[in-house]
Amino acid sequence: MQKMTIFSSFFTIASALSMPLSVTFAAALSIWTFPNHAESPKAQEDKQEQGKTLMITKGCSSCHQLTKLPAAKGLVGPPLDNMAAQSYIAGVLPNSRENLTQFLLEPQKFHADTAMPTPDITQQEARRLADYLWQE
Amino acid sequence: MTKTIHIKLNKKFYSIAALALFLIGALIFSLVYFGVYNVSALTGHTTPVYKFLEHARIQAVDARIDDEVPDLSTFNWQTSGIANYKRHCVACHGAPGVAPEPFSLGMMPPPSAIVRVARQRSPAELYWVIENGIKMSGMPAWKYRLSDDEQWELVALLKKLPTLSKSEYAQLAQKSTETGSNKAIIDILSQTPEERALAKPTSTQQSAGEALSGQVAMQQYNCSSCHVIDGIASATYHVGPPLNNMVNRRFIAGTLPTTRENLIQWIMNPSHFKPQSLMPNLHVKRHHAEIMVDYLYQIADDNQSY
Repeated sequence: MQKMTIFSSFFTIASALSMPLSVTFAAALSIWTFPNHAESPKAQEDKQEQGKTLMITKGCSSCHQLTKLPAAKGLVGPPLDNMAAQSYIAGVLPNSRENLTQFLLEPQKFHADTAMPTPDITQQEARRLADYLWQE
Repeated sequence: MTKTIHIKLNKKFYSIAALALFLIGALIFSLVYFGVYNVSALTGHTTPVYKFLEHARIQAVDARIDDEVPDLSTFNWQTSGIANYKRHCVACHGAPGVAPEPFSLGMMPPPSAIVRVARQRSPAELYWVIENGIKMSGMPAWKYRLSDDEQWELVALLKKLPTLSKSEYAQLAQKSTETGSNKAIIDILSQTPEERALAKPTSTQQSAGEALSGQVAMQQYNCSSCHVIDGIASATYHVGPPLNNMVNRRFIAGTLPTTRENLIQWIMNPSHFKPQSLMPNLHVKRHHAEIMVDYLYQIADDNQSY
């Protein structure tokens, strides 16, 4: 009985220690095996670059924090990291690329009291921003 | 000559290895024997244990799921699915804008925020967990309590939940109560007097002998199922915004200026300030809210604003 406890506890600890390694490996493997878009890498990069520029020129970065964009370190609204994993936008709207685009075009439509101003952006620019934020 | 040295080295190596294994074994044995690891449900597991268990759970479910998933759109999630959800699930898991019952907040592991799992897990995984339950987690097996179709209806509903706003869910829930003739559902929705008493905002007076840390308070009201919070191993989810540097942000929920008092008020009654907010009213007592806010100041980047 004691032997059994020692053995199983040892196994537990050993697995706990090796776990982060296997997770990293699995993540790396899945990224490597499933490229995310059919689009050419160049076109994708351009879109990302446009998204980044919009983040700064349209004022998003002065209120929001985004780790992948060091210029964005505002502390007015919530941080925008991990947008793809976020369940809700502004705590009121179920999150999807489409809903995020709509929200960016007119935040007050979804949350009347929001402190977020209506950004001066076109439909296409909103789409670019949403794609940029959703990109991991 | 060389051969003897070789053998001697080997012997030394093996005896050291055996000793090391014995010491590790003895250490682990004494951790268990002397009850070092705490099984209290007031706080969660330590980070390595939590990560290990979570990984083991995902692997165990993935190894057993059936790849054949029926077409979810054929299931009646709007009435029968919601009725079963309200009867069997909402008490622990809540719903968009609906808080779970008080008892479930004391569970450890905390019942997961339903929209988060619904987004992360495939229909096959969700079905398996509903059917089989999960050992030692509080999740029961519904296999012999609900029919296959009823369980798939729940899966279809779960997949819909993350797309519903607070008011959309409320409408659907209302409709199923009106059409459903099941009295048990209505009973479970109406609070008992004890629950109403629990829900009442209590005075700031702290009950004697109660010394609750902010970290424990955050776990006991299940904040950790929806928010990223430093110092709580399980708090890694993005249902609501991360709370790590919350006190340094200008607005709470995009609408309320951040002050210590406003944070306390917000935690105690979010929908008072933002009716359409998906954050439910968890009936946090004032002194607990204060402790939580103190904790938020502790984990913020810069303590000067305190």
